[in-house]
Amino acid sequence: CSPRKEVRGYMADEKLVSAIRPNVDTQNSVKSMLGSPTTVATFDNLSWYYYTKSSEQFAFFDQDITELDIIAVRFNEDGYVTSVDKYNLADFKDIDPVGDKTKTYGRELSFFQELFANIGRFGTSGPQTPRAGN
Amino acid sequence: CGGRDTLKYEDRSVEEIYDWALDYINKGQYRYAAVAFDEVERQHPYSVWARRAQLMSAYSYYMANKYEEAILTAGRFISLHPGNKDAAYAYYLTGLCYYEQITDVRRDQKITEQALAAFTEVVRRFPLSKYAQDARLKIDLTRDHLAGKEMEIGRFYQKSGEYMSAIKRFRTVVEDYETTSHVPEALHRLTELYMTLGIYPEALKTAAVLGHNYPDSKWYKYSYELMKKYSN
Amino acid sequence: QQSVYSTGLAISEIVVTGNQRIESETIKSYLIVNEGDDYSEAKVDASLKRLFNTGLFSDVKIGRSGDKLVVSVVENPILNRIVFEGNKSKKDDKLYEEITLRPRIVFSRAKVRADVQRLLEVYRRAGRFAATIEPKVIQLDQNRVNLVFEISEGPKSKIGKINFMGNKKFNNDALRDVMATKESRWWKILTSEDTYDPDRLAYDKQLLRDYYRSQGYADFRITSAVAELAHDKEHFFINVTVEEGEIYNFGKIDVESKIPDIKAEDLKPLVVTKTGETYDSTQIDRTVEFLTDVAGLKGYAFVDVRPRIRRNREERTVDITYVVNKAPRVYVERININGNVRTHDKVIRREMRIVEGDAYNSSKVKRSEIRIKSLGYFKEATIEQLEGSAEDQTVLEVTVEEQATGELSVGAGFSSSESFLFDFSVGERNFMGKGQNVRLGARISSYRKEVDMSFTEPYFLDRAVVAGVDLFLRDTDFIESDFRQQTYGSSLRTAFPVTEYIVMSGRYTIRVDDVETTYVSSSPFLDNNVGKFTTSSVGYGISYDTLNNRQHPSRGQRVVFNQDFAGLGGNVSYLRSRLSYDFYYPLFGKWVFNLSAEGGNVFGISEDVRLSDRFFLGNPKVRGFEQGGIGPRDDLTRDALGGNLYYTGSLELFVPLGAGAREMGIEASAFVDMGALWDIDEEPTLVNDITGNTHTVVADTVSPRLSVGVGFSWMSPFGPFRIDFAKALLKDDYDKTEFFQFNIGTRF
Repeated sequence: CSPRKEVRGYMADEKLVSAIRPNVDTQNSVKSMLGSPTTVATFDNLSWYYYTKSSEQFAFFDQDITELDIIAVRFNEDGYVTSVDKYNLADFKDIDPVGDKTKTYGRELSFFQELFANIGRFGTSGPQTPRAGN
Repeated sequence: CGGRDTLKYEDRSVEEIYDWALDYINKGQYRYAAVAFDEVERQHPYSVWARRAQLMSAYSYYMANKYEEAILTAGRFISLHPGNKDAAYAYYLTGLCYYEQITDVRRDQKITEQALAAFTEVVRRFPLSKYAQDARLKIDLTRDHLAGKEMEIGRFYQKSGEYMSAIKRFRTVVEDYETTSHVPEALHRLTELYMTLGIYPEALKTAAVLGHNYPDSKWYKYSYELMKKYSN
Repeated sequence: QQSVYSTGLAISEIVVTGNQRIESETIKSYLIVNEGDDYSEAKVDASLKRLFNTGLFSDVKIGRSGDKLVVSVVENPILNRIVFEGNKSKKDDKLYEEITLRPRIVFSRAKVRADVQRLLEVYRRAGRFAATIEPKVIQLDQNRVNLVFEISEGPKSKIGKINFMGNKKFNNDALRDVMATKESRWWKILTSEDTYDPDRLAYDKQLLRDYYRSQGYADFRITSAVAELAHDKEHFFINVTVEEGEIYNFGKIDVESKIPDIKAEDLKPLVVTKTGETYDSTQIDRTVEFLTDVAGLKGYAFVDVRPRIRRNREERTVDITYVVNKAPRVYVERININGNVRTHDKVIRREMRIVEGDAYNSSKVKRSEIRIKSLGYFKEATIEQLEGSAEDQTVLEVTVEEQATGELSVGAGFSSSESFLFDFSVGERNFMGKGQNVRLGARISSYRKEVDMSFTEPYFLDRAVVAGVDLFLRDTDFIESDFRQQTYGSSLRTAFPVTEYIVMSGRYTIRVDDVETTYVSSSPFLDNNVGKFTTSSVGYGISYDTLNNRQHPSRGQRVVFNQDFAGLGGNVSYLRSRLSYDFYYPLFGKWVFNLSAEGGNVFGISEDVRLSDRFFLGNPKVRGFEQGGIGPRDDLTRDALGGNLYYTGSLELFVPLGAGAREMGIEASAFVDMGALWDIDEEPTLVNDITGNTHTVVADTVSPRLSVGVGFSWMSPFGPFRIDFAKALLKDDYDKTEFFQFNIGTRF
């Protein structure tokens, strides 16, 4: 009984990635060659990240990451490529996220409403917006 | 008539029914008040009271938590009297009806979006009306709620080990909901995730922004400890 | 008065006439032209159109008198009251929900016509195609109207007969069985499948096509499927003409890759369709899925596998070339989930086989949709692909429509083994919207009272692990062994899939039994069972299950092994193991052959095994014998003493009865059951101290009992009905046989 394999994220083509030349390629040329990045730097859009992860998972155990490749294309203010950095499984750190949560509100369905509200018809997802015409 | 409990108000003078309805409101019997106001409009559609009664009926349905009817009645007022100064209240009341049905962030947020749309309408059409001020507050609260949903999904992806999907969600909070209460946590999560993936410069930059804008937030404390622990 | 000559083209004033309810400012606000503007024909027309679009006016005229613009309107009346007359099968408020008109809104002819169509649609969906609806408008004073919908529902258009033309290979019954639309019968009161519904007939065509195409008929075509309304407007006759064509086999099978880096040879071993085998469209779909998956795992998510089919009519073979094409490089940037008013977002999102940032892959999206639907919480679940923020990005909109997942069932039954039976259960499959399952049940029969509660979390700790807790309370009077046992306890259980077919499970149970004999001269062999016992046991199980259907399996097999160790505390200790095997195989189309075997052993650890912990054998495992009718027995009191070891085997053939019966849901079966139960720890003879009689154990033998018989089961609209006739051929003299057993359960 073999584990379940999964490939997530960007499908990299090594030839295209290595063809990117700093100070020559711009955001447009990178976009046309590699396509849209999986995500960009949070504030300044000057780093583009292409992310690929392959993993295996056996029954309910944690996923076992077999391959992690992140291509980070850095740009300067004028939009020219300054460098292409690579991150992989070696850089991976298994960090436990903090358990805390920012509070949110909103009505919870009460216990009994839950158990018995659902026998028979259940409400639709809220009234229609008021139509101008009627 | 049409599945509403009918009260015998055949051919009464309009003032009489209107006052009757007001009595019901004072006695807190909002359902009956609503039906009475509907009668005013039904029997005397052209009296000056009819317009007023429409608004009062919507208010009564709202007070009786009959949100659907309140929204329908307010909607009718808006379509008949769009220019009238009371239309501001009708839009505002519609927003309240949706606002009070907002469910917790783990469920469909269509109602939250409808509330947001109605309050935005109040602020756009009647910026100076006395309802605009509260509408602006409610807009912030509904947007905060929608940001809460993005966070919920971000945490789900982070816990299931889909790090990049989580990054995309937390980035949406930081960029599209930058005035909400969830931004500090979103920034911390981004720091956590970039550290997990080993992209140290991005983690450092995000933690710096968090420290700069929210120096005394607990989330900055978490990020600070994380950076200290893994600073290579 | 009319000014003779207008000084210039400018409009000095706009006058609104004819409005009673709507203020002039409101009407002016809709106009494009305002005071001081120049008069222009175009602006007037545009204003006219806008005023009409508001739906508030039945007539609008804009004219010029001098330098004044005169807008004269006739307001649409106000709708005062809506009444439905003549509706019998549909209640007023059900119809009221369907229409958009409401009291006190503005009345318009267009809205009435639209609502009449909506009401007709309601009746058409309910199978009443002969319904007619006449809207009547009653003028009132102050420009108000009352609206009456005069409805004549007409009869439900039932399906009289479904006949087929051109079908040589499969008879009409087989084809009717495939279709979702059924012929109406007097006893079919609860079903709505026998009313004519054009959508369902279209779906039927698909079902027939799939059925033929999976049995080799590559050329199968439906030339026509027509429903004619009989002159009495009561019944529909459905005539389906088909061209079956001949059976095809798979001819040359090939794989061709249009992607340089993917070599066809690598993919060939995955092809499920083999040359020479009968043509089967479902195998083709499975091959496409396998090839797409493997390409994805090799890093080529953007593949679009298309089977190119070429028929050779003479050899009657179908050559298939699986062409692996390049698909557009599109990534999923966001997955939105809508319509989950109760269900939590993650309960749906965790079923998705694709996450945000992944490459778009149609087979993974299709599989996600199937997984969400199989949760059973939704009437409808669809995944739509929308444009993303760039041409190589896309957004998936997952829309679900929830259904009632609560169940309240009350049942009563009568069976030869338990006489009168009453059970009640309330459950919720999607509790708190978290996908959890809660069930509360009570069962009372003439000699057993039982209450149990269970809670199950399908994704314990957000992992693919099922975890649950059960509480139970039982008071049983074992008439076949003359003792009464009161039990209460709880168990914790978990299960997790190891592969697609193998599931491992674990459980811990804590149970307290309080046993007393029902009268003095009972068998001394009961002594070791009387008193208060606490059993604390831990157990595990492995099951391999490839059955194609839970309720009515017709293909596949299942092997289940369980072992429980009692003695983790408590005053009872034994090791109990059981192994069972089930095999189902379809014969001649609709027959199903079933072979099943089972064995078990309980082994007392440094103490005798109590009677309650031993196995009992008889009906239903070995039909033809009473419950507990086989195995060691007290020769004087004839009490069944149970046994530490047992084995059973059964061969059964399920045979569909002729056309009529199968449609009533009657299924017959012929069977051979066999089995034996033996070995108890006590001495073969014991003395009852009070009565002084000596009791000996009889029928404690390994030799197999054997019975043959026939059985009938009927899924009546009131509930399952089962009746068995079985003759015991090999038996021990002390065994208790039972030729006729039946069980009626109603569920309402």
